[in-house]
Amino acid sequence: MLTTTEQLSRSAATQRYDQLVRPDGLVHRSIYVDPEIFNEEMTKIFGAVWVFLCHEAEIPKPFDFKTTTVGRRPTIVTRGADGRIVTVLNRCSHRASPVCLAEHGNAKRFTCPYHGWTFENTGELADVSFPDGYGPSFDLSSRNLGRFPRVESYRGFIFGSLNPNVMPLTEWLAPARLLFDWALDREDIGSSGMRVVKSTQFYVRANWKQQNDNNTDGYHSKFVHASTAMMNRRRYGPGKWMSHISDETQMLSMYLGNGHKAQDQRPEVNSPWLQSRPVPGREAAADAAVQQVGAERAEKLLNMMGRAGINLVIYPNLFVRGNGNFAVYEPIAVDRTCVRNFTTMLNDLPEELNSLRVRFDEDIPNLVSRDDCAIMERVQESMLTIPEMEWLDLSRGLVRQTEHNDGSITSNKTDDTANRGGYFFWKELMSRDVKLAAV
Amino acid sequence: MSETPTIKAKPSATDQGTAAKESVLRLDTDIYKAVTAGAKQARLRFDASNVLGAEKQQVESFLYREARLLDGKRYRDWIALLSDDFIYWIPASPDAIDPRLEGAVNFDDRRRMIDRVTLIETNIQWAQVPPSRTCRMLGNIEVFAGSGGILHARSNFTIWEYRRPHTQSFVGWQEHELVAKNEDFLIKKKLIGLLDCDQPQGNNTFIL
Repeated sequence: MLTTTEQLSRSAATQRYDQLVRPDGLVHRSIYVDPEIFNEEMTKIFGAVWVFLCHEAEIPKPFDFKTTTVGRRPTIVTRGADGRIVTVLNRCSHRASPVCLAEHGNAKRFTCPYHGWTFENTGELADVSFPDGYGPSFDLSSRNLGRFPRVESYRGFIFGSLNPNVMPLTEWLAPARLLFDWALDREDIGSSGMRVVKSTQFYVRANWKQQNDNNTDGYHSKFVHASTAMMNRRRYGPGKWMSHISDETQMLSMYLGNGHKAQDQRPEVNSPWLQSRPVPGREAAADAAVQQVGAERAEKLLNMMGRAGINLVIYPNLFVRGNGNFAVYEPIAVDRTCVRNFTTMLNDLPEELNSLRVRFDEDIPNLVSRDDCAIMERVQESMLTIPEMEWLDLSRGLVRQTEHNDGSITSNKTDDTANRGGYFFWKELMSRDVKLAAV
Repeated sequence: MSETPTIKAKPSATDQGTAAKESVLRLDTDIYKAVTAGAKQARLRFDASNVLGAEKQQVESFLYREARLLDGKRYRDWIALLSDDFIYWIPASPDAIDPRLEGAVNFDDRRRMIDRVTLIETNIQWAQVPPSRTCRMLGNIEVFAGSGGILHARSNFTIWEYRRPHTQSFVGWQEHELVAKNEDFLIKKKLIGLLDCDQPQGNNTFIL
């Protein structure tokens, strides 16, 4: 039950954001360029809901840790002695210094470089230098590293939230479950053991929402990536990915729910392997696979690379491609976002194919994403510098979208349906007050 | 599409396009291992006993010419300097030894490098419209003898790039593996130790 104060403040916030995200699909430029809105997002989006942290395979053993940021907050994801996953803020409870200076590793304890306070890797304050200065009633247990109140895993993907009252992860993910499971089942991820390796990472001088939209925007591909389509054709003939896009396609733009969205390109995917342009090592890896596991299984494994046909965005910061690769978006500033790609390597794949997966995952960021970034950066600059042109038009597809019983909304892949749905959800989140806690 | 996908043991005969006429580097385990061994060596190359003097001038001239071609956007002339088994690797971690084990900032063979040049030549690669202007500076050039007549050239580089509206610099060390051909060289391998390689890169769209 909302208190009167909460109701009033909710109304004010709702009114404000109703003016910025309109039912006709127009979105105000300020939500991309206003630093105050950005700061609010770090609480109301990146604090209030589930944020993807890392994959369990990145921290497989007790005391393994990896650092990341959650709505800019430096964060450590780690396993306790008993294997359970804990997420703490990388900030000494004493005077705010980071306690962990490495990006990943294995550590039973973190010692702050500032005054030597020592914490268990799961955050409990274990030792304070020269304790006499604090007296006998000094309570170490009230000075642990700030800890995320909620951490849950779904099929190896670890999510955390600073909102103690966030819905269970399974409920949060429910609208995206079908596609998420499809991607993971297809890749056989998790069943035989896997490793996660870093792939290409880049910064883009653009608001995180531009990047979040980019992977579920189907309208731009033919134009932004015209050079890629042309290169594919010149070098490799017709039939490579990018040649399939048209207004008549059966591919879909999908808003799923809870901010999650997808492009379903599977109707145009016949053979991910044959439709992919060559990456270094293609032929030798294919031969090695055929020799090791036979032609039929090799074909299945090779088709696990290349474009599987879904781009799935788990709101707000996880991008799942159907080919075993995933990416994380980190908001850095209102006009700066970091994208980190990760490749999964499966223990029961021939190693030559695991290496090929690594090469595949470099392909799109290096040959294709460059043009997306160029566009996003210029758009960011344009939105910032021209206040007189206030609106971004995300209305495409309103005239032909289908609303389904499960709450999802779909239409032609070239429509804004996925991203429009995302903004309506964004508005909903920004209109809510939320009480976060680092416990 | 009505064909049942089949796996071809050779470069796919159904692939049309200009790439079909090129020889394809069979980047197999042996070659990967050679790259790995080379990367290990590259990081340890301070053995003064095999520094070469006589060849150094030739190699320096070659490296300056390579830089001039790239700064001048003479990409096809640069491609002509690459051996058929050319490997280009910008590792994504300072101690990377094996390109099979982690994603790279860039890992290209000759075929992929020609893809990249083809992208630029379309004139609609938006990340290169307008194209970057670059200025490469080389220094600390040392030349070492390798096996089988291969020369290893180790140098430091700074590249300044102006890609409207930003100017930025790239810096690091690099190693060229050079094979002699017709009184000139071909580049068999270019390994680039970019200073901030393990950090997210900007929109790098030119060829380092």
